[in-house]
Amino acid sequence: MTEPVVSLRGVSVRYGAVQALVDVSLELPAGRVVGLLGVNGSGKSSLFGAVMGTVPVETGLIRLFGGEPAAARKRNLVSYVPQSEAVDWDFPLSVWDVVMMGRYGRMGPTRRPRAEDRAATEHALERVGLLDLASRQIGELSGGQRKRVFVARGVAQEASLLLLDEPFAGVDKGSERTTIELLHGLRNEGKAILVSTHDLAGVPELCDEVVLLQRRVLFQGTPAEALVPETLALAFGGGVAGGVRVTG
Amino acid sequence: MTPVEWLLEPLQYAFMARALVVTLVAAVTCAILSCWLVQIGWSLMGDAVSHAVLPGVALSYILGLPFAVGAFVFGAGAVALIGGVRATTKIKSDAAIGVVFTALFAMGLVIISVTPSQTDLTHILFGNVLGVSDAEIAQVVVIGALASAILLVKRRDLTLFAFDRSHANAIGINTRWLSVLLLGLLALTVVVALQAVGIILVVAMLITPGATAYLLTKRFDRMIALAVVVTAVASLGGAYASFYLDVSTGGAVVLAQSAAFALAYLFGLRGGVVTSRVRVARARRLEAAS
Repeated sequence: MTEPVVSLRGVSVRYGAVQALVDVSLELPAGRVVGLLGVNGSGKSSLFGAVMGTVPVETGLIRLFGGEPAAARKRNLVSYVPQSEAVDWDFPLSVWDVVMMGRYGRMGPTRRPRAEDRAATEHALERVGLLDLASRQIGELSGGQRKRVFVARGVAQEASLLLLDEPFAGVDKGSERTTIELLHGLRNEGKAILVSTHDLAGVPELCDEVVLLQRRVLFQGTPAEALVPETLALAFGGGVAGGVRVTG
Repeated sequence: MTPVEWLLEPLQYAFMARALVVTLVAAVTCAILSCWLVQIGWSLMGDAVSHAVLPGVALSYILGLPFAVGAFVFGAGAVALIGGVRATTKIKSDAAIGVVFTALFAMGLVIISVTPSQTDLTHILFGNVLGVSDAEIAQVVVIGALASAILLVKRRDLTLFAFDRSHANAIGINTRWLSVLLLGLLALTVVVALQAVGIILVVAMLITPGATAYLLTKRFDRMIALAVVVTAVASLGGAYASFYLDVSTGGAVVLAQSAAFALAYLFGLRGGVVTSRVRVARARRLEAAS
């Protein structure tokens, strides 16, 4: 078997008195879309933070691509697509500028773009269907287009692991489909994709595998197995109606 | 008087020529830095550092050191103290900033009150750009050029830091180092600006140019260029006005920058108050006509 892209063994994270993650063990293979499901406060952000190195791990071991996480980040293997609320959409940057930031890790210390960086940016924008909007300020895009700008940044970066935070919040149905197709294309190229969400819409279509998180890993399996009321109730409590929607 | 005479007349006075050099260097350095400060939301940090340098300036005079040394030590020290208080308590960020800088400012007032008369509190607080010495000019020019050069060379990293720290982290860029770099440059820039307008008004130089340029463009590189050009013109205009009207130079410089902001606010392309109204009215007329 090949080396897993992400491997967590017995990872615990604690903020003061609050235990955010307890003994989490997980393996993410290449070429799969894995959904990380849980309510707000279930530790999804902490898990992302631990993988990104922004949240200190209390105990346990994290490996990316079989080695030190910091080394993988230095090699531009990890890309992060933030949730919409975390982005300043009024920032004076164009779509092109943001996607070009995906190349920064491959540039010299002044981050002056070379021809290959421009080509990669153009290719990434073409791939997500935003090339003709390249000069728009990022706030002048629809919800789905906004998401795709950051996916394009990961494509330009040539990352092998994509972490997406709430990719479907504020995205209409048509755009959701475009995004799912885009992510499936990337998966088929062998990229590992980890999607964190508390909204189950889109999950059965998008994900090959689902992890239910409630500070611990409650369940790991196929979406069909996960998205039945009995299993969902473990992570979401009783508020699950019809098996695919969380209310309240 | 022809416009050329109007421009050349003040330059015949050495003190005025020196004042214009200091004002220009300070305005340009502050304008560049302010683009990141307003985008990150560090305006209050600029206010804090500028006030916190007071004891440093006072001690420099007492010990006969270049003023820049003491000012930088206390500016950087304030940043470190604020960071320390924030990291080790649950006090909110603005409260931590407020406690630290007022403490240092008060310490400066006490030090000056027990010092013999050659340190003039009014000059430090409100600026004395007409009285700068050659040594002070040299410090301002060297530090200003250094800070501006570093900011421009690292501008893409700083913009990434301001826009999306998590991406910077994800690609292995050390965001802690970038934050230290920016705060260090803030301390250096404050040292330059306080010569031009005094401690109290430094914060205006650190915020207004970036805020003005933000109203005029949607691209960051253009924002930097606009901040520099608009602020340089406004500041020199303010300095000339102070010469002819015989008013406070620091005050006139900041007032001119504020006037530039007001114009951008009213007529800026990015949602200027008047421009937006005109656009709406024109659209309505077109609609009514069709």
